[in-house]
Amino acid sequence: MLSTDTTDENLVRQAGAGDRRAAAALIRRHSPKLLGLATRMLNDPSEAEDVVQDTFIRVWRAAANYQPGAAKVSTWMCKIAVNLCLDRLRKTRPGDLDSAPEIQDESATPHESLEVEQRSRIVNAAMIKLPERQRAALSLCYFQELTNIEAADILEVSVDALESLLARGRRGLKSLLEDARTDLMMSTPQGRSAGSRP
Amino acid sequence: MMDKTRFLNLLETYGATIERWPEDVRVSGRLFLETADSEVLARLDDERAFDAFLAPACSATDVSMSLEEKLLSSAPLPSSASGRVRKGFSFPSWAAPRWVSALMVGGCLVGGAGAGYASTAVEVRNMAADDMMYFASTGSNDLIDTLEEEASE
Repeated sequence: MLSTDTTDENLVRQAGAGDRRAAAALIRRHSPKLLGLATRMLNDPSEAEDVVQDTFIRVWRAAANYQPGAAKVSTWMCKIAVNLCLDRLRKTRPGDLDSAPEIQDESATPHESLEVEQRSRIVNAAMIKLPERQRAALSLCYFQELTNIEAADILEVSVDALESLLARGRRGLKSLLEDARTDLMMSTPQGRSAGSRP
Repeated sequence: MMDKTRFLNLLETYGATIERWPEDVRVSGRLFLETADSEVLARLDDERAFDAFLAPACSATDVSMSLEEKLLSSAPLPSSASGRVRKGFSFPSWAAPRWVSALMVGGCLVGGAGAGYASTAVEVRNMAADDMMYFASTGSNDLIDTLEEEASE
């Protein structure tokens, strides 16, 4: 019987032995975050889905002989997904930063839910303009909420190097989003009143 | 030791939410904040606003039913605990033996029908030849022509 607090390690072992319910639980628990990670890294929903599929295929292959090690299952899965994303980016990269989507200001839409969705798109479009390792560091630490030690382990760098990637990534992202943030602020009543103050 | 430089560095690296900072600097970060000057507080506000702007992009992405099904269909089967993993479409495990049986039965039926048809054709041709021999011996050319036509069809 599977409960919601069954550990990832047990789910992997059970899935490896052919337990479909354990596999389904593992998929439901981790695929949304992995898909988010891959989408932010690649900014292409269809490629992101392929990465998630390939990640799980690798997990299933290793599941039958899975031995819990130092890394958590979630960290292990993120590491597989990040490496698959970096592989894809290296294959398709030459000079394609120019073809990355423009960061458009779509903040004038009245519906809040749409605004949230659009802001998410704006952030993802800006992310794709960052160097890939800064993007990966931000995705893991900020969006996936992994610890700095886990993220450093995934990217195979020291914690100091990770912090440098994070700081540069955040600065870069801030600069890329500056116009969009200003426009968004001006489109809200609070922003307009703040902007019109002497 | 937490000082202004270290605090601003952590702020720039991890953002304004101290809960997101590395565990070993959270307490000293909070303590430092209690006596922080206006420059630090202004930078904190700035980073907090940026965090709020990024927040919508932090939510987990919805996984479609079709992707979930694809992921599940690639999971190991009970009989393949040694790690055989399938990619793409495959018959479910319970269906495989039935498919094999159905193919065998179908093959037998097609083969049997073919053999039956072939033997019938040979038999008809032999009977026609016998008839021709019989009528030839009786000298009836009209009947021989008719039988030749039938046989050639």
